[in-house]
Amino acid sequence: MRVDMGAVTDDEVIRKRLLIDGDGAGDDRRINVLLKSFTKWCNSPATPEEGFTQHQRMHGTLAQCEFSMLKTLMVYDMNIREMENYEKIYSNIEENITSAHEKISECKKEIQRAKRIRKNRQEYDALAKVIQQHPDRHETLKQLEALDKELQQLSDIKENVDAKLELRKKQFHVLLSTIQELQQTLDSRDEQLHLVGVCGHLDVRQSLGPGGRTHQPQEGEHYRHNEVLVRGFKGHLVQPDTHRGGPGGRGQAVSTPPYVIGIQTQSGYLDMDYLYRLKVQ
Amino acid sequence: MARCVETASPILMHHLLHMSVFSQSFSPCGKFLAAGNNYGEIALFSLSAALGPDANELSQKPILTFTAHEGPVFSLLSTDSHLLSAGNGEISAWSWAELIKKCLCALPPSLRSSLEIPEINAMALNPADNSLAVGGGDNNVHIMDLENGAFKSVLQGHTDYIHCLSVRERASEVLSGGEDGAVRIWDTRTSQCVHCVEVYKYETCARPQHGKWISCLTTDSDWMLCGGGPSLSLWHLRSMSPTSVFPLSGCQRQATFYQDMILTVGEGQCVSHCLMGGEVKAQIPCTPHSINTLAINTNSTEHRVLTVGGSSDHIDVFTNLSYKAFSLRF
Repeated sequence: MRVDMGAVTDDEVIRKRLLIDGDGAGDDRRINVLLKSFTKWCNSPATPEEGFTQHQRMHGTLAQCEFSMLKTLMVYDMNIREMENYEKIYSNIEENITSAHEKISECKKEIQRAKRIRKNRQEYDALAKVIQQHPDRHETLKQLEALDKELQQLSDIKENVDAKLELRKKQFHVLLSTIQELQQTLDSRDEQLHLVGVCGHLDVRQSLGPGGRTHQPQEGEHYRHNEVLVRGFKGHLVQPDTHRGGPGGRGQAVSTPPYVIGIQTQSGYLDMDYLYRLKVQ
Repeated sequence: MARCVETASPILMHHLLHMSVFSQSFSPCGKFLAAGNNYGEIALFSLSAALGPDANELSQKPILTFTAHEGPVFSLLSTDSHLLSAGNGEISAWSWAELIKKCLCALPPSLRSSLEIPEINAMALNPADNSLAVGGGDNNVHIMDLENGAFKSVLQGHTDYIHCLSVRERASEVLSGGEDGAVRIWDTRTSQCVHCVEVYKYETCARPQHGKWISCLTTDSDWMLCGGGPSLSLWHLRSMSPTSVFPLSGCQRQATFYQDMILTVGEGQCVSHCLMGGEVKAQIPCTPHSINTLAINTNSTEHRVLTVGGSSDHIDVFTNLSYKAFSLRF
């Protein structure tokens, strides 16, 4: 056991010695020298002056040793304080590192958010581009309104024209029915009349015989037709078309519209004015 | 079965020279990348090895390569546990767990379904009802139920083969784009075509010199990107109108929405970054001359990379979207 301790402590001792000696060469030696000189001084039979000088010299050496001890103590204090300082700096840096890590992760999240926002913005832009190509809603509405107005106007005009057409039709109907009535009146009167139809030709095709039967007149024939003598002429007898295509109308197929301007009777020629006056009566 | 490139035999060099990567898919854990090429092989790369601090030449080679189909592997898709690969009319499902363990030497796939169609160009997963939409050479989209592997329905309407598929989750619809230039939107529940958009008929998008086929389609539920013969264009699905047209010269083969940008690849030797407004923000050069596929690893946060593959045996990996970091090699 002692041998082991000796081996271990030898290394330790060598190490310690080297460390100590590295500080200032001779401290250890000084102490040894002091010790030796002290023992020599204690045992020396020298004179008081020499003894005194040796005593002084020993004090000096002692003072030197104390001085170096003080120095070492101060260095030791300084080292301790330096260590503390470094510890503080170390913990500070650790904190900074962790906060920087956090900031980095925050920034990464920010960047993800920003990228998403940017992507959304780009999507909006792309859609906006497409939408811009389509015309403005207000413009289209205005155009629609204008077109509506135009439509309305045109339909009004159409209505007017239709009304006018109806009116004219009615007027012509009145006129023709008047003529028809006049014809009837003249038929019913006991007069021999030559009906002269003027439209380029006169062709007595049909006439209503007695009893209302149609009777096909021959050219050159004379007959009594409800007390109306109709001389056969070559041409068209135009029966007034009272109800054009309507039921019960006396009108036969007419090729040209009737344009009766007068009636030739045996007694003379009756023009339209006279006929009118007749009707009015 | 590792392949050593050092013994560069002329046949091997020839093989590598004519390789085209057609499809990619990331594993559900996000640590592995599977890539399919025109020889019918699928190679598995380990991203954690390639991205790790001690990456070297060897970590950029595949950890596993196997022949999956006779014809080219045009489409790869990952579900939660399986890797689906499409070859000539057959769909195989490989278990990811087993692939990662590399005990695949003689193991057949866990499921193989056959369709009588010449090729399968695109597959899309509909997570809502766990079904897979498959589009290929017979002008139809087939919907397959993933639970039992049976084909549920057929969506007919296209007059030419289908290039690409996309699933619109919010509305439970499938979009398909084909060689006939039409993008059709199908309702999965009624199997009817809800809309049919003929992109080449719109003057702003049409590029008659390239043709009318649609080879790239992707959707964001409200928006749709489609391109190919006509220019790549962004469409608003509610109003069915094109909102922006991107001035890219080549024909685009794949596009995806990523955060606030649109990443697209195609005939040029670059990945184009575009904004939704219609401007091309950046074009990042990469190795393959004509790029077929682009994939972003969203399954993992620490291996979030972008990979592109095309007419080359190199698959470029982008750790930062702005530049190419390194290449994985078949």
